[in-house]
Amino acid sequence: MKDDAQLIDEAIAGDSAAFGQLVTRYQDRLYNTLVHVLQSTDTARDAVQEAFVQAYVKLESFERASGFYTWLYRIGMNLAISRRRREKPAVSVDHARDALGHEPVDPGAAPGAKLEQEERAAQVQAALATLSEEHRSILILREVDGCAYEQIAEILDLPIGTIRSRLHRARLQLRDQLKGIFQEETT
Amino acid sequence: MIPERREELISAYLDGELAPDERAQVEKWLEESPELRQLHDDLRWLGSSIRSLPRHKLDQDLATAVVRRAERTVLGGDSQPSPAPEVRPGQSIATWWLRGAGWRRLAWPALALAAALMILLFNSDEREAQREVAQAPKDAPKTAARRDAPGEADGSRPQGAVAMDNEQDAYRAASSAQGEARLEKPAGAMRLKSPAGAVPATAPALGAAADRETTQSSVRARKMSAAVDERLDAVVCEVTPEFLRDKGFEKLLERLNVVGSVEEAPSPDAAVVKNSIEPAPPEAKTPSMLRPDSRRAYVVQATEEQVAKIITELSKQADQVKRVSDERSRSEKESRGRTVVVGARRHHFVLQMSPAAPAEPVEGESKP
Repeated sequence: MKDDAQLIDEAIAGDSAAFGQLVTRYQDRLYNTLVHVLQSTDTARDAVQEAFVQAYVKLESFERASGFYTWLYRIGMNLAISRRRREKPAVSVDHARDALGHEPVDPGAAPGAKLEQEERAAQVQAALATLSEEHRSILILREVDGCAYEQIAEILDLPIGTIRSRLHRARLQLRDQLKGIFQEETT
Repeated sequence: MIPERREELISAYLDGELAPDERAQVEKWLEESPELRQLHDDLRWLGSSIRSLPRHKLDQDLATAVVRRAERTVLGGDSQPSPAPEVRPGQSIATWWLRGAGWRRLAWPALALAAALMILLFNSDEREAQREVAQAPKDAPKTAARRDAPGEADGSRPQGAVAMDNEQDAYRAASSAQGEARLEKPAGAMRLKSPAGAVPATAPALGAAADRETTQSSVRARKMSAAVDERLDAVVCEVTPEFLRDKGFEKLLERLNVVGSVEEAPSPDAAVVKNSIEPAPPEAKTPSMLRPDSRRAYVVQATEEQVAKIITELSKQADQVKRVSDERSRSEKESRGRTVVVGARRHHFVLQMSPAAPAEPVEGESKP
């Protein structure tokens, strides 16, 4: 399997199929992140597509100091943030559930547990929606995507110190939002 | 109350983002402080809650749609969806290039380079242009002096006369550049109204400016023609108008799987827009080689073997390709002593239209 650098070289040389492979490789990962950031599956789909189009158009300017995925994320997050600012956030549990669709939480779980998990997921998503976009983006990149601080700093173009403090503040806010279920589960 | 810095360090500790000494410090605090332990547990639970959110997946592969849209964006024609190129493994670069995505990407840089070269040429000829203006009444009375002639101020000057001068200058320039001295066209043979000709006879006050523009236009025309004729490293072909019109050369490149792009190709339509050609009298026959759309230059990226193949294939099309002359080595010889950029893969081809019918003898014509 070709690595990203090879596919990028081929795409720059004119082989659009090589870029197609990069799309296939990263589309779901980026989509999942943007769904949580944008709180909307439809908007996230558009943003993912637009991010890849922009990446293709700007591919020759990609300096490769970071990974392709980090660079792509930066484009995607910038798009997501600008889209998010144009739209109203979804804050209720029902709205979060509707906006994010009904993705199976754990297909193997028992029906009762499954319902419980889905309910909890909807509550977490609704709580995430109450965060400011800058806090939510950092939290999603860290927890959902598993990005290191350095990567997050590069994607969001912020110093690592800022990432660390914002991430902590985002966590504290989310904990306050979810205090109810947290107490339920820990007692 | 836990100091904020300690809280942040707990958060970073959970993320594995601490240096060894910081990690040791946090572990010590966790042993000592129940509050910090509680925060640690809360944040760990929180992380696990977020990570257990369902993962969203797209229900389709976006590759085709993305590449289609991206190519349209690169082509700059998003409003008119072109026949969408499918994502095909192993698609050749040549095909992609000839479909437009490749050369379009390079079109602006190439145009910028061409513009820079032309500016250099014009600047170097600035004095020549000024001399021509100064000598115009003596050397070319019909150009400048005609504007001072009685009757022009009231608009009775034949429409398009200024443009005609432009055109004649351009023809003369093209003629001298080609070593032909037969291009002195009779006045009125073809009525052209170029941008310079937009200075109307009813605006005599602008005559001087029009003179300058006319002269500069002729210098420009001469330089453009010379730029093509003095092209280094070119294969020069004489082809029929149909061959040019039907893009015979582009088709040949595509057939041979060779990458190429039009370097300068003023289309007939563009020429009409540019020059506002009015219906010419039926007797006016312009040597087709001299029309602005009579010549195209191509840059072809190919190996020497491929160039040889192109020449062979062109030579086979005798009905449409009248002459093929590989003037690359000659150019190199002539340019000895000058700085020549010899690209290993870039070759120039100049296609010029051969006259469809013999041109009528024109005034001042002389055979070499």
